[in-house]
Amino acid sequence: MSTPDQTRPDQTRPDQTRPDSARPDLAGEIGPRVLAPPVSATAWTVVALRGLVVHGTVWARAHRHSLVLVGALLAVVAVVHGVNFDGWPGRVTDDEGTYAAQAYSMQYWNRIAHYTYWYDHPFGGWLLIAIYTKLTDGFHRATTAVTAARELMFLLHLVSCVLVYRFGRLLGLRRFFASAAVLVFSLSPLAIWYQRMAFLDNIGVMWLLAAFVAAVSPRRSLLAAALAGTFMAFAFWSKETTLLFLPGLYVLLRQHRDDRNWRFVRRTFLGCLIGICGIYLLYAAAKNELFEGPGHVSLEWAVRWQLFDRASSGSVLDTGSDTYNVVRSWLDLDPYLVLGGIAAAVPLLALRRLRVVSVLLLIQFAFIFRNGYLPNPYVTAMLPFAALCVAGLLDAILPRRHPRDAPSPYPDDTLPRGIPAPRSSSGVSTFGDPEPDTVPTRVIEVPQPGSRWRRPLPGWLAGPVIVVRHTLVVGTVLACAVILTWAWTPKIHTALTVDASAPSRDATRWFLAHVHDRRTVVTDDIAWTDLVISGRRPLPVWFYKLDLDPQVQAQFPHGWRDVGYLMMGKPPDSVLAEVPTVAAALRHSVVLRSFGHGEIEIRQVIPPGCRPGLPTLRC
Amino acid sequence: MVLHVALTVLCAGPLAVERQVAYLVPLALAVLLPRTFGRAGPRQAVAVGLDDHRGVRLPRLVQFACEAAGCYVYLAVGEVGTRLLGGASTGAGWPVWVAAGAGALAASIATLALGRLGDTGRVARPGRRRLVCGLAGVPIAALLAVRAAEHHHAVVLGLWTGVSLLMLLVAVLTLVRGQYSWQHPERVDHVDLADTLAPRHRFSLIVPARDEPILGRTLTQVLAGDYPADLLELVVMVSHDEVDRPTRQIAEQIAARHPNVRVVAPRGSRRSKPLSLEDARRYCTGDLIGVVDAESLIAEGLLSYVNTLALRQSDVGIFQGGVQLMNVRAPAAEPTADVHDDPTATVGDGAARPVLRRLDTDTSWWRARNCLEYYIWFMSRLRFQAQARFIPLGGNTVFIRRDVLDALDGWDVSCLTEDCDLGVRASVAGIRTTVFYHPDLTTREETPESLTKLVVQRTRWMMGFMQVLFKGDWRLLPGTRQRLMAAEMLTMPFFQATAGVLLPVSLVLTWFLAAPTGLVIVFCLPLGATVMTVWSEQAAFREFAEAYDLDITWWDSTRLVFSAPLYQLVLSVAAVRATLRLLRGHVDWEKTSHSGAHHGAGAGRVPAGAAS
Repeated sequence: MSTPDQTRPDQTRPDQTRPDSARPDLAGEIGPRVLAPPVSATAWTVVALRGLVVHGTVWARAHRHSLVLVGALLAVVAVVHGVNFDGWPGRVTDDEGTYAAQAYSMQYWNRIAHYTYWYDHPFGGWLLIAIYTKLTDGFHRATTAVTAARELMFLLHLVSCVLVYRFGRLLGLRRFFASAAVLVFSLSPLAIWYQRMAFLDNIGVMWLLAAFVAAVSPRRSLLAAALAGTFMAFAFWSKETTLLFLPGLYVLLRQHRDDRNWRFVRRTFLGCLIGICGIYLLYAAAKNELFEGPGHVSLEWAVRWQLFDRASSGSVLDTGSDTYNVVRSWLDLDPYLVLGGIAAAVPLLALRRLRVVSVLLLIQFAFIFRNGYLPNPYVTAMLPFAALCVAGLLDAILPRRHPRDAPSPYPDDTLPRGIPAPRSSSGVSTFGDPEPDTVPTRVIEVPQPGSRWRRPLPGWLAGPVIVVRHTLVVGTVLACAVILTWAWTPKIHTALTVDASAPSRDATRWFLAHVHDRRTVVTDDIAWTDLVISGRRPLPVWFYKLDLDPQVQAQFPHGWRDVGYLMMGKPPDSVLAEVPTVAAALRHSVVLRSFGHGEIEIRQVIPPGCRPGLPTLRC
Repeated sequence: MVLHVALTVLCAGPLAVERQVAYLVPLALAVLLPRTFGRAGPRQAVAVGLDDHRGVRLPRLVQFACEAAGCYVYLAVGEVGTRLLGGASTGAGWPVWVAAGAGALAASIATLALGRLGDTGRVARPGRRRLVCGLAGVPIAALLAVRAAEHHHAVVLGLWTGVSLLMLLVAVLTLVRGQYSWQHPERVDHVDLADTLAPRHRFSLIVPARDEPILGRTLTQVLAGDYPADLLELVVMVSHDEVDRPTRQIAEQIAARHPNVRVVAPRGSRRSKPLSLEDARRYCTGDLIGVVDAESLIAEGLLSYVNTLALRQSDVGIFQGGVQLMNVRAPAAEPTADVHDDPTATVGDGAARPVLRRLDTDTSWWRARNCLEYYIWFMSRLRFQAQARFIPLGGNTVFIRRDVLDALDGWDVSCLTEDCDLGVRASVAGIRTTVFYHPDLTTREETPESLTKLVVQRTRWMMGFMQVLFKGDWRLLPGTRQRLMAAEMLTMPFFQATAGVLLPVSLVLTWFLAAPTGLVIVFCLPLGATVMTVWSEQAAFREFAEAYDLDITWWDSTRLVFSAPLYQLVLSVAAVRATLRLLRGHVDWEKTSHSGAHHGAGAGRVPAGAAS
């Protein structure tokens, strides 16, 4: 028994210079005492680092197959998406420029948008672009502002690919099929077209995938739930339409719950989600722009406009409508992935583990028929789900080899709950992958479609059925490989080689080199940021705002006569109808230089009584 | 010193703090931090033979003076450097580096010199030294005051942003730690009741009692338990005075029937719980010493389980069981009116008095919240604290190996929350604690009889926490994280006091200061975290009801939400009271003892029949 004197707290302090000395000597007869943990900061750091390294090694060893596979996939994907990412697709939509311009104004002007922010979208998307450009000095480094934004899209796409793979794995797909999902998700010409462009949808989809991965996390921890909620909220902050996926996400979270902490998981998820989304409302309220009022924009108006008042783009069944044209353009790019995914989604409804994914795809599909406004990049969010549906169906059809033939310890329809995730060595074998799966994830007993309501097949039938299923899957995979290679290769080749953005770039360059007077230029948003970055004064004006923003209008007391130059493609008539001043300026202008066969034109406005040759100031 | 330079340059450069002010950040850190959190900072050369990482430092004021001198050097050199450069001072150039280096060097030299001076004991007149040191700080204070006056708007906003962020951090930490037990599914059910080993440990249970009519029931129940009587010893502590005569008689009656019950009634007028415990410790012969409050209901299998735990976990010194308040609603029976001896009871006149008393005792909006507080504390928070190796123990259902207790020198008789203090000292000594919570093993208690008693009880706890804080044992904790955690937990009373006023102030600031939108959002974040806490408390409430098979209606849940701000207010009142009493020097246990709130957790007596 130690005497109290030896163990007074002030004497039991381990000396930092002599770590071994003077530990509290509490050892009694009854039990060994625990002593203080390692104390010096360096020792602690060393221990922590060693722990990290050990954990990392163990994790990497457990996931070595997946790591190698994902590494190879990313290499392919990076080449296909990275080469010529700025050149193809061309500058076909002004939206890219708008987001880049808004990111620019965030980074350099500390404002949310380059004109009055009117709650068109939450500003998290271009905040992310701004963070990226701030970290990498993107706007001054890249050739154009949109290029900088597209660099970020490239990185996001790589992350999305990893997330698709992980999501597929967590849904029980074998590695082969998870990889296949990644490949079709990434290599479809539709994907190359839309995912290369600086769209908020790409940012939103990445956060969405992250939220789904977190929601099916096998540990069922509160942290995962909090992350799922946070990522979902980020998805909302990037693109508000992703809220469409919220019910699906919740159902998925619920399917993968553990009853012991489900109450907390649920509330943590919803709390993080609502809390972070609520900041958007708080922002509007703090600026007194929550509700409509005279003299200011409002969130209420913007929401109503987006949901109800926005002009419909027509029915998809009406061949003359915008919706039809949009859908048509998708199918022209690639009919296989989305349609195949939708076809695969229907039978997958019977399979619990993939039901949510298939339902989400079908809901998106159904929304096209809603006859509302169909934005062009709408299809972006369908792609990962379509890819997972196709791969998932094949995975479900292909019978599992040993030891899946053994009867499952769990009922087919329920994920095992309350049981620590078994360190599985069960072989999730695929064609080229005979090694056992050592991923320490919960093994999801994969029911065969339709089989869970029935008794096992009689013995004489089981053999042939398995053969048929094997043949079916192998046949489909081979056929897909052939067809997709044949159909996609030319388009991918185009994407890798054609520089369709050149006209826009050349136009900007020409304008900066040849126009030096101080008259205002009205541009589209693609060129706007580049002109601002290169120091064009007075500031160029985005053509939309000339008519729609009262503040901008005030700078043009004489309407179109105050406009010096126009630099844009010819907007469609429907747009021109909204912007009469621009239309008038267009009418009173002559083309100075045209790029890309009229894709973008630089025009000079000629006030009445002037001749094109004279300097305008003398009129 | 390197830290000095780096921080200064960081502030002057990337963080774009004004150059003149940039030095103040490392200055403040150098003066404030080392004593509290780290080993950084200069020490006096001669250590007094202690292995204390705090070292023996210069008085803070002296250190401040040294740093101030460094600051002047920094400013002067910086000024000269800028002049030489032609006045073009943009951000961090070499002048800042040089100036910061010179300043830090000067400060270090001054500190070392003064430290040497202090060692040799040549400081003749400490008062004069203090004056000089104080004067050294005057220019800095003036500089700061002028700057602050120039930018008072920004200063207020900045301060409040800091306060908000701090509150947010505390709220989030509280939330996360409150959910520790549910963070992973496998963490929830941590008690295996089926696992029992044969009784081997000998228990000594200390039952401090004062004026407890139901002591007999408690003792009988413990004695009737399944643990063998020859391995169980009860030390009942009663007072020798008149007030305790009935209690004493009950105890003696039982002791006459059971040889393993010993009644100790020390003489002396000043009795308190820690004093009783400390007295009782000398009579304990068992190798596991447990503390059981006289009014609590011990669970049947508790001792067997603790015995098993003690056998299985030989490296653990302390075993903390769960204590649970059970009555989520007010007792239906009319409680006995003994408010008159409560000095803090609201004194009304005439007809108002019964109404006030009814409001005080019969209301039950706070009871569910009080129960829930216990549930979260014992089920989750304490388990987190045990894992984090810093635990303020509970005062009831705690079992300590006797050699551990002896090594720790027992309880601190001068402390109001001797349990918390013991936990802190045990953590300092690196003793492991196991916290277990299972509905079948919890000690059941009742909420305080009235709101007033709750406030009195909380005041005492908070005063105790502050005592432990000022006592400073926690600064000896080995890890920085532990010390931070201790600081956070022991200052919780202050946080609670401010939390009540924070939100109104936030709103006012938002309106009157025309804060930027971003800051308005920051101001609202603590509120958001609080709402989130209340929201997830619902889950804990359901778990609680399910664990104890309570009949919870939607009204109970709803009331739990609406009572949150009121309860917070009550805690704020208690915190303010505690602070005031501490300031007036009312740290004496005896002063509160006649208020009837001296019996630790669950100060109220259990109304007859209301106990479950």
